[in-house]
Amino acid sequence: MPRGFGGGRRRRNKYLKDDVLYIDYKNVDLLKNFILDRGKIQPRRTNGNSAKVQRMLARAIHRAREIALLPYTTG
Amino acid sequence: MQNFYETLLIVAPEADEEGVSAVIGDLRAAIESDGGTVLQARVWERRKLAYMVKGKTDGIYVLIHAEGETTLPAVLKDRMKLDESVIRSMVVRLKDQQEIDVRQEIVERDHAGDATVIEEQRAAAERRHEAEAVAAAMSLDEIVAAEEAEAEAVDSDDGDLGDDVEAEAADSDDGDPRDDVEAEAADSDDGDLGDDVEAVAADSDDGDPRDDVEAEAADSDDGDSGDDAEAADGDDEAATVEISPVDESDDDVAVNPGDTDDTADDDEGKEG
Repeated sequence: MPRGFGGGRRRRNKYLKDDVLYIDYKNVDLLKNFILDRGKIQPRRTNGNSAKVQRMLARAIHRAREIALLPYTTG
Repeated sequence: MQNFYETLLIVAPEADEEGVSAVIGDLRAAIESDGGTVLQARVWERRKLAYMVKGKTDGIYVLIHAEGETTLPAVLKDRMKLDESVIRSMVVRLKDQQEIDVRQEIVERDHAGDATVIEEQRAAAERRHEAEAVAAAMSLDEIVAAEEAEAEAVDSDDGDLGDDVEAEAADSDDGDPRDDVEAEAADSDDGDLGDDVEAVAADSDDGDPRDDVEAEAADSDDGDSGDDAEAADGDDEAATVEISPVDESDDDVAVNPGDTDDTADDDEGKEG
């Protein structure tokens, strides 16, 4: 969807629907889709997640990091 | 109330099967001695760690699901900290849909192929969930009811000349040395001898020898000879609020200037 500036890179998320009820922190394969190569959490502006989903996602990623399923940082 | 907890821990990779089951057995005992129930305790998987933990690059992940009181996470964490073979651990409370799903998954695992048991368990989990929601709603209602009862009980009117404060009565101010009654308007205190009555507005106490009456605002009682009235205040006989007929000696009146009964009303304003 093109926006005022910054180009039309926004797209709806292809892995998560807006109505998911929870995101399991153990689901590493899913979470990997939402971290950048440096290990950072992908911003919502690029993945198009709803605010609610992004919160759940962030919580899951933080938990996964705590238990060494995901890196805090890479490279 | 029992909560549903998920524990994920990493056992050092050197541990053999026996070592792992020793850890699991130890935690099982800890959970049970805390009054909890273990629903599942198993090796989740052996995998490479995303970063080094205590010098290890991989580990054996153990997953435990248990029900227990709120003390359970602390008990588990304490126990795992003491165990040298546990290199990392995390306890998380699961609720709502995730709890239902995990319970379901456990049942399916336990009774692979036995469809009726699975169905029963699922229904039971949902009933339990609903019952909890109802219980939560009930307790809220009870609290509200209790507060209302308290508000009504508080009237200690004293049989003095004036009285009765109405939450919504309009004030017709007349320059009378007595009071102003205002329902929701902010009070413009005028330094007159009488009092201010406000249902909602905040009180600006003025050091006036009389008092302020507020239904919901916090009362700053000043120990003076006047009194505090409450919106919920009724008159002497009635327990609830009523508009009293205009008193001959007072006019709008809320609080009687001559009123000296301070005791029962005081605390109440604060709870308002």
